[in-house]
Amino acid sequence: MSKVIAIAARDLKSWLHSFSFYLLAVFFLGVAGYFFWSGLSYFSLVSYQVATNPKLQVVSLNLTEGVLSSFLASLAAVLLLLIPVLTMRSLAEEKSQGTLELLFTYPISDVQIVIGKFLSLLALVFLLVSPTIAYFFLARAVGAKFETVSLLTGYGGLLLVGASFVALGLLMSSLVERQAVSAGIGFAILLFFWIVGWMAEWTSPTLGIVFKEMSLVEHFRDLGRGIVDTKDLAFFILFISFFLFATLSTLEIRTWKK
Amino acid sequence: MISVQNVSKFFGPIKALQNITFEIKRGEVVGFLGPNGAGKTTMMRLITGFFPPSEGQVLIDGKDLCKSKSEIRRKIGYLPENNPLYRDMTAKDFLSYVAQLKGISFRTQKTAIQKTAEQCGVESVFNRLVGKLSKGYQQRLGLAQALLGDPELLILDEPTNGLDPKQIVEMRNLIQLLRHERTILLSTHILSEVQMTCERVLILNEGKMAADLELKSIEASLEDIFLKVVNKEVELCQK
Ligand SMILES: Nc1ncnc2c1ncn2[C@@H]1O[C@H](COP(=O)(O)OP(=O)(O)O)[C@@H](O)[C@H]1O
Ligand SMILES: [Mg+2]
Repeated sequence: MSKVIAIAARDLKSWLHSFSFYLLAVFFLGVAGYFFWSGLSYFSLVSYQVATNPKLQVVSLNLTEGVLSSFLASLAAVLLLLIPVLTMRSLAEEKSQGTLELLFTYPISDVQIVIGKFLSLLALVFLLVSPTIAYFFLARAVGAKFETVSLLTGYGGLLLVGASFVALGLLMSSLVERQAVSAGIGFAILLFFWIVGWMAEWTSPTLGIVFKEMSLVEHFRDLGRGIVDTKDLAFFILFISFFLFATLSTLEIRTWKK
Repeated sequence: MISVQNVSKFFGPIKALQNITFEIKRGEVVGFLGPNGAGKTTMMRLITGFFPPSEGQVLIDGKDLCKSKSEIRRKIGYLPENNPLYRDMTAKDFLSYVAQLKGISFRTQKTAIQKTAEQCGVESVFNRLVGKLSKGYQQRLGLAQALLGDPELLILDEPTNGLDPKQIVEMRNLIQLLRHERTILLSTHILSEVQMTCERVLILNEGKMAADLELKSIEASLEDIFLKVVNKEVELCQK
């Protein structure tokens, strides 16, 4: 375990020492802030209208439904774009500079390498995402109170989605040495898993169910509203395990020329 | 210490190594020669457990590398060809990272790093970025990572490649110092280096073992022998 942490810490440090991480962080937090603000102001507009129009009183409005879930969905979409950029270096760089050869001959296993890489990227995603919680405290200052439980489940779900993106990106970085290409393909595949549920409507009912079940968005929907369903959790864990396992298998082949 | 038995390695249609057999005893310093593409690096990667052979087996102290990986790898220090390093770390951070991965206990890490750094003469550049070091210092650092954990067996793949004559002499002297109580397998293109540091020489040609000689036993110059062997005029496997 200490070796896994050593690997994770090295990668994390290397990112935190690079300018590009701060550039990504500023971009992410800026976009997130915009989404949050526009979501909140739209919500307040609607609730004002509801309050002043007696005919609409029947609609019950709540902040979790109205703001939190759509905000988290937008964050997930931004992560979809960002995470391939974070993951593209991970194994590809070790390969191209040859240091993977060192790792492969030290007394550590391939599993430790993959888990270490995965954890370092997960920590990066956590560092990107967690400051956005501050927005909810700011919102509280102007009177918008969010339920803590839905906030926590929502963010937990966001991290699970992030972890899924990371696992897929890691596989790409083990397969594709050209980093830009790796990020591009990773983004395309993630996008597919994101929107595959929408295609469900246009296909046969049976295929539609399959598509819906594969969709990351469908499984994130309830978590984003603060509802924990074991089926969704199982899906994410399966998704992550599958791509980590695939990464491991590509490392075990060791067929690259140098 | 090392026992290579009927080992072959194929990369698709390429036969990088074919039916290689040899033994290296504890404490021997062996030079590994052969033209480019002969299969030296591939052989060294098999001995370090980087990848498994397609046929045959490699035993280290009687144990199959593919079976008890961690235990055997602890005994091996490896300096790969082209000396890969993490360029964005300081020399010190790099060595402590390697010490952690080699499982050197936390309490002894500091002294182990200190000792190895002194041996390889890299303390003076401890706080510099690896990528900014001169080629000579980078090579020493590569040797230092191999030496961490005090391995009994050193595998050095062209350790003097790309160095200037002064650095080559320094590197050679360093290797001379390391030979006590260690088994060393060293590949190189510099024949005089083998003559100065090694007791025995293995020559590989086109993936086959072409010569296995004690240096004491040869009368002609190593250069003559090398050329004859590589041009397939003679085959000199003593066993
Ligand atoms: N990963 C690989 N994939 C395909 N062919 C390889 C690979 N590694 C080495 N080879 C081939 O195996 C042969 C031996 O290479 P190598 O062991 O690097 O030789 P040397 O170190 O003696 O120069 C060469 O023909 C090389 O092209
Ligand atoms: Mg070579």
